[in-house]
Amino acid sequence: MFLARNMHTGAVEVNKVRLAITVWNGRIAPVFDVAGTLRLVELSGGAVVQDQLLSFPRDGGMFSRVTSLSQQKIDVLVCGAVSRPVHRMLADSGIEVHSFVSGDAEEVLEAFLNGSFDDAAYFMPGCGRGRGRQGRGRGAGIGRRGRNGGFGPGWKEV
Amino acid sequence: MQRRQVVPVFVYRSVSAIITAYGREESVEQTKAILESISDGVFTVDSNWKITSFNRAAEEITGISREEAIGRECSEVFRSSMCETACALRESMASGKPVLYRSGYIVDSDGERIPVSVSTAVLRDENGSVLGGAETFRDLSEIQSLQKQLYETYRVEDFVSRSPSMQKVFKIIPAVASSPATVLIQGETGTGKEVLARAIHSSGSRSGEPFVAVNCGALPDTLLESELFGYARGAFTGAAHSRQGKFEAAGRGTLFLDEIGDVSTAMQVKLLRVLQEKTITPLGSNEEIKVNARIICASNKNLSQLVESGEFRQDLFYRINVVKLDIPPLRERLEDIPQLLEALLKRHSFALGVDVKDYDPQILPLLMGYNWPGNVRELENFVERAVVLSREGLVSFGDLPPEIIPEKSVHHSDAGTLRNARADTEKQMIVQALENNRFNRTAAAAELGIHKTTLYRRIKALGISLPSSDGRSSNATNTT
Repeated sequence: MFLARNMHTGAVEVNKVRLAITVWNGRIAPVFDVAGTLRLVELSGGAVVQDQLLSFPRDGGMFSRVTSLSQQKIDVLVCGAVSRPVHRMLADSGIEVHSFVSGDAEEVLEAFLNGSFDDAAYFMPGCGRGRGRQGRGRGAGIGRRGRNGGFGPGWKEV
Repeated sequence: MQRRQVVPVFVYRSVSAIITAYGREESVEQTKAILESISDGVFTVDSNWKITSFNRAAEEITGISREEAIGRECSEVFRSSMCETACALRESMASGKPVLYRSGYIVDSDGERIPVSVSTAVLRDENGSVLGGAETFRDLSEIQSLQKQLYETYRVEDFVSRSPSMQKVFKIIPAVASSPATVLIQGETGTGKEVLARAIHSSGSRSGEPFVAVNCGALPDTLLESELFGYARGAFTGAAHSRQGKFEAAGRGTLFLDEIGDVSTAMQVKLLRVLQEKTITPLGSNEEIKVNARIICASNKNLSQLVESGEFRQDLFYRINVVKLDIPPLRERLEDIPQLLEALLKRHSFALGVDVKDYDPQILPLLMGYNWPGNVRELENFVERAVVLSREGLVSFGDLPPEIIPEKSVHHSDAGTLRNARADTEKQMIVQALENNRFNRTAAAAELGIHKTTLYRRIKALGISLPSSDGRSSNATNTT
């Protein structure tokens, strides 16, 4: 178990992270911009303490989509393709975004938890070879997650 | 303002060709040749939604190689806005019927939304059993780019207009931009004088040089002088360092002097000297600095009238009035409103990352009928506000500010009598004219077509309160 400092609030907590994954038919939803379902998983000290499905209103527009993630206090988002302006809004909201991810949602979650998420098999076609700008960004960010439970720059081990 | 999408007939033909040829051994080569030659993206899927073929155009449009695509889930390759809720292929597979020309967008690996039109059909073997489905898709970016080019003919840089008077201005801009001549731009507040000045700057050989704008009306003489000419160290108490003036800062670029009609007569003399001698002397310095910048002046006042009334020097007027461009107020170029509304909606929707697509057609007559006293600036403020409030879908009646709704004056009359309604309307018109003329009563009276003593009487009778500082007092400050 790690103690971590939440870089947003400054609080030192047991490694507690709220992770959201956009899902569709048991897989990562192909396009975040229009995804209808969100799987919200809360992890504390490496264990899943909350796991629920939430509907993502499709009629809410991009603002309400990003706002609802912020209201749910999401730290990390794993999703499929995301358009650039939306990606920017998510990043500006302080959410750590892992976009252009594909595959079975359960498998991706498992991979995310055990730190093997940087496997090229989880990237969408065309994104794993550094072609896409956002794809490259993801690749660079994923490697940092191992030591503090796999939850990126928003959290710092203390 | 929604544009019709143009989808060529051969999208359907290519689907038909694939369906016809598919599964017939002798036609395999022919099918491959068709798939590789057409400009529409085509992919086929098996009954498990795995990609089984992916043509050259599909590779080009999506940026994904066929090696990466084949065997993967079609939704993870195609990544379209339609996948979850409006998949044309799923519909075709369920109904057995083709779906044609459904539009949406795909998100490529760079996060770009690419507008596409898709058509789908079911693939069957010789016995009629379903093998999978075929989807063709066309990149509509090119069509949208052509629409943009068409749109570009009505704009110079960021200045958009299709009105005949502005088209005349647009025609001479290339010649004006390539000459060093001083330009005078006249137009009401908010008509886009600075935007036009920037367009002239950007269209000419000075585009790589600085564009420096100074609002002469906003600064008192002493500040304006140091702002324009700069000052040397020790020129006045507190001047610990020398400071470059705007004439010098503009270098070989453009210096835009806005509200030139508001500068004092003393300052006019100094400006005239700079324009004649092409040199400046910073405050507290004896060194003359050569001016290389091109000068563009602008005013929301009629400078000829100011010359006649003795408020503006005739020699300075002739010096700056080499090329004169008049921007008509928005109420005199109503034909520009739809295009401006569309351009501004796109700009603000993109900037705010929201999905406001269009305007409710019912509000357009109101927008066209409104006077827009603040011109394009007011229109832009309206659009920005509407985008913030709407956030998605259409800008509708509820997003209109009260001043645009014409019934306001009648609804809000206190006693509902004709006399009160008339008084309300009169009050609104007077306040509007005063605001348009920065509370200068003489100018407001001229705009309303009444004598200024009548205006004074009506202001008093209607109980209109006036600010302590007005157009007269600010002019008076400038001229002292």
